[in-house]
Amino acid sequence: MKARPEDARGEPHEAATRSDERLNAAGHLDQRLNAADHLDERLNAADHLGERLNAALEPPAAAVERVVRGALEGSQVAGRRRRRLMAAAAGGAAGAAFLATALLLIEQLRRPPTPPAPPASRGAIEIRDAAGIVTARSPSGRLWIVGPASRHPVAGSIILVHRGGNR
Amino acid sequence: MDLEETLRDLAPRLLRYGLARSGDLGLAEEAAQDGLAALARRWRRSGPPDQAGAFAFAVTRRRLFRALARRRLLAPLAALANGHGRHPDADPERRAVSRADLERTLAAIRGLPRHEREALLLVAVGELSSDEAAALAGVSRSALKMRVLRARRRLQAILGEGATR
Repeated sequence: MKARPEDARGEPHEAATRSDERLNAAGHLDQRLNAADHLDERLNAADHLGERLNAALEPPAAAVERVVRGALEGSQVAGRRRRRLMAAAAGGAAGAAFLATALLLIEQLRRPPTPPAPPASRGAIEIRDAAGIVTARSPSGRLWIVGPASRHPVAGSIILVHRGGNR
Repeated sequence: MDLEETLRDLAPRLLRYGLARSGDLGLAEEAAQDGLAALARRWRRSGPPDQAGAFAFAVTRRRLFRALARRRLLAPLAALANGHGRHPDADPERRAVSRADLERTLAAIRGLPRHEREALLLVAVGELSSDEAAALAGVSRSALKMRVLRARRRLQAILGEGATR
């Protein structure tokens, strides 16, 4: 539905009216809740329901004493028990760490020393020209045939070596 | 107020609340002691909480809820083990507080809807402020007050003394 000019003129007024109505409704709700509060207080004063309930449910003094003593002692016992548990856990963790370190050290000492790889051959690719065929051999022993050697050396020739592939 | 004074102030309130909730003084004692022990631990570890009463009531309520749920679950087994029709007053502690008025009050409280009963017990028996009780029950202060008001009216009606309305 299209809004007509007179509607547009009336909108702010209607919105303000609606807002006033909402505020009034909220005010009424507050009043009712306050009235409920007062009624609650009046009822409480009139019927002494809380007092009557408390009188009917009054626990024996011995039970109150038991509960207080039990709570005071129980909390101390629980605190001591927790501290003991934490100390035991910390000790256990330290012991386990010490044991693991000792085992690693023993393992290192028992293992024969590994001979270091010859530095010259490490990672080197051997390129050869055998009877006019250029070959490349990797340190692991794989052999690639690069192609026939050119008769004349060409300046700027590049050999691409791919590492890590499956080729 | 130091720790022991606080515990002494809270203990009867927690016991009354537990007794009204469960109808069993033994269970109420266990739950109240758990709540107070938790409060004492917290107090010793990091000082008194802002609302010591609400703290102890929250723990006690949880313990009671679990204990009652467990009891409901195990009730058929307990009945088999103890024999049918055994009166709960066989427990000497229970017998000590088993007065006619208590029985009548407990029956009336049990007749209330759950939310209203909880609100009434927290405020009227637990003596918590409306704000504390509302926070514990997870409702607004106004909603809690309405629940208390309704519970109060219902209880009056159940007890047959609706003259104040």
